[in-house]
Amino acid sequence: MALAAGVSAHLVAVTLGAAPSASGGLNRSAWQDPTVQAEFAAWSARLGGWGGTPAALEQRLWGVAVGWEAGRSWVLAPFQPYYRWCGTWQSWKMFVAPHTHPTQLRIEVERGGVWQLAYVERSAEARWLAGKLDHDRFRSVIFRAGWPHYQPLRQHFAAWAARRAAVDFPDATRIRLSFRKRDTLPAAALAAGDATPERTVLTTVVPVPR
Amino acid sequence: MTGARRWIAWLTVAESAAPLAWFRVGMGVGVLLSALSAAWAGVVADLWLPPAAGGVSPLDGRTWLVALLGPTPTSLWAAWGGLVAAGCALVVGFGGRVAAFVALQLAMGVLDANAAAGGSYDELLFNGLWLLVLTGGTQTGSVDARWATGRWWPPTEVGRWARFLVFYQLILLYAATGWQKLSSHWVPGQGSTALYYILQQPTWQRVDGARFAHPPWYALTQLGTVVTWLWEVSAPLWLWAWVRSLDPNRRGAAVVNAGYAGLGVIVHLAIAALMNVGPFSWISLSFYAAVRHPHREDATPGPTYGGPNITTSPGTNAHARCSPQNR
Repeated sequence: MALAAGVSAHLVAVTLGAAPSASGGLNRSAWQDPTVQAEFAAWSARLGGWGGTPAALEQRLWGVAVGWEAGRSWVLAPFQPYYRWCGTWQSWKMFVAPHTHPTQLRIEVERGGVWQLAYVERSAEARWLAGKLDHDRFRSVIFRAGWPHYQPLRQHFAAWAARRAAVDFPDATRIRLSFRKRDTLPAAALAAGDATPERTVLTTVVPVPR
Repeated sequence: MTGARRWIAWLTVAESAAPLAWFRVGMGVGVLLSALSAAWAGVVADLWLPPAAGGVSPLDGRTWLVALLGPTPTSLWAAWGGLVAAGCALVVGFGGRVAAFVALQLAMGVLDANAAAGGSYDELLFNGLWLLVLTGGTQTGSVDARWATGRWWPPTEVGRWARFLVFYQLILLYAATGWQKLSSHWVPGQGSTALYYILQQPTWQRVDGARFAHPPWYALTQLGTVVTWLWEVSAPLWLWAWVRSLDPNRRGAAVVNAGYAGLGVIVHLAIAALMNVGPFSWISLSFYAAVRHPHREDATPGPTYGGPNITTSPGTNAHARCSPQNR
């Protein structure tokens, strides 16, 4: 009987914990990203009159998401110790929406008053620190740093890169982190050779420590 | 029989512990992949120490390890060494539930200290390690079993509940992620372009994504989008087939169970080949040890098979064998 009760309690805890959640993405600045805005536009068009304009749909979904998260937190409250101490969190938001406007990290080093490109994500030429930055766990850091609301992480990352630059480029004075935000083209346009629109965002400049 | 009694009887049907042993080995390798790949790339101190100690970690997850020992290189590397040792213990099957518990707490203590440097594979690993704490996993195919019985692979049996929990976690993973894939690029009817766009994202690329804009690759990404979405969303059907196929007479359910599993293997191998998302595919596939139902010949019960060396785990109902009535 105790076994069945224990198994049942575990199943209830993990099943409720796996309920859909907007946590992590429930951020107004993140919702302004072109990828998210494009989703509102697509669903507004698909739903026709029911969904209203993209802005109205966004506002309605924001209210639903906030209410849902509040209710979810209340329901899951008794299970929180089980999730926290036994590692049974259930957050499986894996590629739930493709990032159609992804970022690409660039690191430049200022030497003798000239900015030199040192690292670009997935580049075959600009490979400074690539052994570290191409590791999957640094990729996670870089992915998050490319969102506006991860500003503290971006600062920590820039400061870390500056300390590394002080070792590898003794004459460096500053480093500049930035992200190229690309509008991924539809397949037909990319295959036709159209240029991918991109712009520089989230630039961070820090001095290289002596 | 009441519902509760039927539930208990169903959970406690005795079956071979071998699938749990393979699951344990998979989790141990998962721990080692996580720990050693980061050490090999030289990113451990960079990612899990705070800026004051030379890293990038904002220490946003105040784990017990950080709170107790402080975010210092000494405590970090001590925990890292312990994690590697615990991973090795899981692979060889030494230490039973204690090894799994130590691995779990060290993994959470270190990896969660920088929430930005991880992904769903960490959570899946944690869940798997906790399931090993609950179920053991060293009843056979282990050093523990060798010491206890004199045999590496004694025909030990455990209650069905152990394998069920492992399989249920797999279903939960797929269903939960599928039901949250509400993007217009995933839901059928709007081009099914999700995989194409995901493969264009520099962060996770293992290969240049431009080729997927051309035929026949683009069509394959569309097919993959539809198949992946349907496979994940309908994962509860896999659970239903798994339960039904416990009865060997239900061949159709067995085919569905095998079909879902085969598709899952293909999906995970494709992910591993095309994207760098850490040990996610390996850890996920480790849960597949619970997919196949052990046959009676895998663990023939009774003294004729293993004599006095046969052991059972807590929760095993020695009277509830794998007869069709108990499936």
